[in-house]
Amino acid sequence: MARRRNPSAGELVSLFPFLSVLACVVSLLVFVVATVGLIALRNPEGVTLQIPRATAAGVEREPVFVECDVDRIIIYPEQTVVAREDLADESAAFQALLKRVAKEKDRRYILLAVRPKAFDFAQRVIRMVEEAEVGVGSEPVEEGPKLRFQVSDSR
Amino acid sequence: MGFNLDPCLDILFNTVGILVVITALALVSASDVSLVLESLPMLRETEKEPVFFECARGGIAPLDVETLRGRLTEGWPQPTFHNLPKLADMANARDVEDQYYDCRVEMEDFFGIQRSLNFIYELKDDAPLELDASVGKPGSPFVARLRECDPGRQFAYFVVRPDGINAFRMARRAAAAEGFESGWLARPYYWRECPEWGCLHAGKYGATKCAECGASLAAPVSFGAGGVTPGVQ
Repeated sequence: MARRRNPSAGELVSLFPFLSVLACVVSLLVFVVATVGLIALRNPEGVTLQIPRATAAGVEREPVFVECDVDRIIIYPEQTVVAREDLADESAAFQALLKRVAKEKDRRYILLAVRPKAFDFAQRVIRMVEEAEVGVGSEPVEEGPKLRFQVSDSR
Repeated sequence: MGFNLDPCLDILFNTVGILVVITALALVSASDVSLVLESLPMLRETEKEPVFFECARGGIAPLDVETLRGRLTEGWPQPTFHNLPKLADMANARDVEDQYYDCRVEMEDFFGIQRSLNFIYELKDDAPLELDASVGKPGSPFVARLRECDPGRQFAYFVVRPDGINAFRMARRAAAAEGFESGWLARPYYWRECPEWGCLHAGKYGATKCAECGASLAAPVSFGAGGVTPGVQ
C-alpha cells in the first residue's frame, strides 16, 4: 500500500548549503581584512613626527622640516626637492633656506628627518647647516612612509 | 516541528559584518603612526662625557671605549710623527676585543706630511645584542649599564645603524626615564661617498667597494681626527 505523502515535506528548503557558502565568504573576508591589516601595520602609510616647540628649560625654536633621502633632500612644507649634487649650489633652494633661517636663528632651526639610506649623506647636510651657523637637529625615520610634521606647544 | 534559525543567523551575520567594518576602519587609522618626541631635538654641545652604545641589527650593544682604548694604548710612549706606525703595529698585535667588539688601530698618512691614528671598533657578528623589545624592561642590560653612570656628568650617545632605528628609540626613551640626556649619530654600514682622500666618488647605495678606486666603503665605528663631536639633542 502506498504511503501518503506529507504535503509539506517537498516544500521544505534547506538553508544549510547556502549558509555554508555564506560562512565561507565571511571567513574569507575576515582573513582578507586580517592580512591587509597586518601588511598595513607593518608598512604604515604615513608617519607623523610630533615635535615639542620648547626644551624643558623653556627655550623655544620653530623647526623648519627637511627630509633627507638617499639622493636628495625635501624641504617642507612646500616639498621642494634639491638633488644631492645641488646642495652647495648657491642658487639652489637649500642655500636660500640656510640664508633665510640664519637671519632668524634665535627663533628657528632646521630639523632633519633622516631616512636609513641617507645616513651618510645626513652628516654632510648637518655639517653644511652648522657651517651656516644655524641650529640643527635630526631624527631617524624608517624607509617608505610619507612624512607629516606637527609642532606641539606642550611637552 | 522545525526550528527556524533565520533570525538568529541574521543577527549573527550582521554582527560579524559590523565587526569586519570596524576592524577595517581601525586598521586604516592605525596604519598612520605617530612619532612623539619628548624634547626639542636641537643639537647642542655639552660638557658631559658620552657613554657609547651602538644600535644595530635590531638590538643594542654597549661600546666601552675607555677600557678598549686603554688596552690598545697600554704602555705606549708619547706618540710622535715617526713612531705612529710602530704604535699602530704594537696595538694591533695585542688582538684587543671584548664580547661585543674587535678593535684595531689604523694609521692615516696624508702625503707623508701629516699622520694620525684612528681607533676602530667593529661589532662582532656574534655579539650578544640586547634586542629592542627588551630595552628598558626590567632586567635590561642597557638600563643596568646606565645605572653605573652618573646622569649629572655623563650622557648616552648612540651610534645608530639603518637597522637599529627602533632599538635606538626604545633606548632613548629608557635613558630619558633614567634621567640621562642623549644624542645620536647616524652611521651607515657602507659609505656612498668614497672616504679615500682624493677620490670622493659617490657610488650606489650599499656598494662595499668604491667603483672608482677600489677602496673599502665599510664604515665601522671609528675615533680619530676630523670626526664628529658627540652632542646631545
